[in-house]
Amino acid sequence: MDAALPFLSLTEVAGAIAGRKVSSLEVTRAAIERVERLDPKLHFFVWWEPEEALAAARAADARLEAGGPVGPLHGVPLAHKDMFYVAGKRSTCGSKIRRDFRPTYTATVMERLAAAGAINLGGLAMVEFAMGPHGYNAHLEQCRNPWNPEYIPCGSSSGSGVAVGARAVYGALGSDTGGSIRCPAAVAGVVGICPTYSRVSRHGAMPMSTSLDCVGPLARTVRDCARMLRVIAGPDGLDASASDEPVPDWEATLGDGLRGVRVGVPDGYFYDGVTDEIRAALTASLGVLRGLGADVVEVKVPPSIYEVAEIQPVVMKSEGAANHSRWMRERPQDYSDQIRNRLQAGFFIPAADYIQAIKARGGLLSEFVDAVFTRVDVLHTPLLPMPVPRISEAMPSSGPAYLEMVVSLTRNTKIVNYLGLPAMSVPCGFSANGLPIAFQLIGRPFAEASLFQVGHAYERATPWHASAPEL
Amino acid sequence: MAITPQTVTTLNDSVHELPLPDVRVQELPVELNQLHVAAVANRARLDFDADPSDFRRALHAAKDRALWTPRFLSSA
Repeated sequence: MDAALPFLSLTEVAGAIAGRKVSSLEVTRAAIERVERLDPKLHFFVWWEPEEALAAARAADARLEAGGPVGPLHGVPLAHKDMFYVAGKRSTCGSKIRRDFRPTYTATVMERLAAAGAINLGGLAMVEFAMGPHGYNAHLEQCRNPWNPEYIPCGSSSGSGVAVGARAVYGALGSDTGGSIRCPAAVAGVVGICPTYSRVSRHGAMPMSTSLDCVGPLARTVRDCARMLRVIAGPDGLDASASDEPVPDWEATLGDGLRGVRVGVPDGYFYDGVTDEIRAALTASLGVLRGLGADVVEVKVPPSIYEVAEIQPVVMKSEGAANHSRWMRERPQDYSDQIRNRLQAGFFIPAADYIQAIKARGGLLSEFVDAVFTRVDVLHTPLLPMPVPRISEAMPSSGPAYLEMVVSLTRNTKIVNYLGLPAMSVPCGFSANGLPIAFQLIGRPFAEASLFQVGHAYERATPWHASAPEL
Repeated sequence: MAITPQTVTTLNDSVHELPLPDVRVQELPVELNQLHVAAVANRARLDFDADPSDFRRALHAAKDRALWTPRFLSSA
């Protein structure tokens, strides 16, 4: 059983622990052994506390033995992007500036995971202050893709994708401002969901761009993500921006099937610059969905989507500059060159232009919803437009090609953050370089259920989610 | 080009006071002009009466404008 443990899904291992087929201690030990073996090669942890995790596992087993109530993640070892605060624990935010930061309060999402019984192994690698989609962080050892260490892990939730993809932990939290959950999930061959804006509390999560930031899970299966999201979602008195929209039991409707579900294929924007190889994988995945009973229909995306793509950085950079304004003046030398450069532009955006970019959001969202979601239930799009790049292509020294690549990585994801829509990355094959390919499902606001339902049906009909890298 | 290195220097010296090396003063206008073009295009969408928090309302309103309602919602 031990050798197989790391390859179970989160929900499978949670069921095995709750059913006392395996102890949390055995599962946590197996996870620790895997981290000890793989982290020196892949560098996905910033810090970790295996002894504390083992103590928590023993306590979880004792609670189960005593017949106490157990939560939906009871005894399951997880780890999270190193930006979700736990009182007294390190939270580096991938930075030198916060290398020794120990918050005095705990993030709501971390409270909720703990209440659900999850065990926290530690803080996972991330791009410095969550500002970059490539996965490079000058302050950390290069985090590497579990499918081939010469390829990028994407970011900014780099370690979250790698830790889950490498089967070291069963799930991980990430944050997503322009694609930072979905891109790392896509290149690691796992599922990642950026929920509807405001669905999950950001209290105690490091801010990057408050109007765009979302917190969500990366895990091995759609069901795993549904389980984790249900635990962390919902109203929060500590976050005025958190929605009071009811949180459904998404797992309960996973098996509803696709008959009558309309899957939209975008005409415009999302396929610009997509390589033939990615296009073929996407087409094949649509064939699977059609075979499962979905109505696959072409849908015209409103031309304003191009405006959205251009205006999203106005919001992100303005808010990023505001958040970092003090350190950028007092400690500029403590930022890496790449992040300091990325932050500078935001200072020069006029406040009126920033506010107008925020005011326009509601109208642009309505245009998109009216054009797309009155015709289809989910929109199926490419996620990365090209195969996963090599680390050497993603180094900041690579010149204009580097800049072009960085923009391409988030081209199809950042517009979702501006519109506030939920979107999920689902593995759908491998490219010739052996790296995973994924599609993106975008839903109407608060309709994560439709993403889970379509993603789960696809997953049950295909082998991709069960493929694990040989490590 | 609307924003030049001179614009960056003037604004930075008088307002932002960031430590900007000359190479960045030369580079920044490229990015700033892209952002500026996007912002200018977006000005055409200005609605005097719109409130930034309308976005939250639009999110909830859009939730109800769809063809398909998951079973758990329709039975709620």
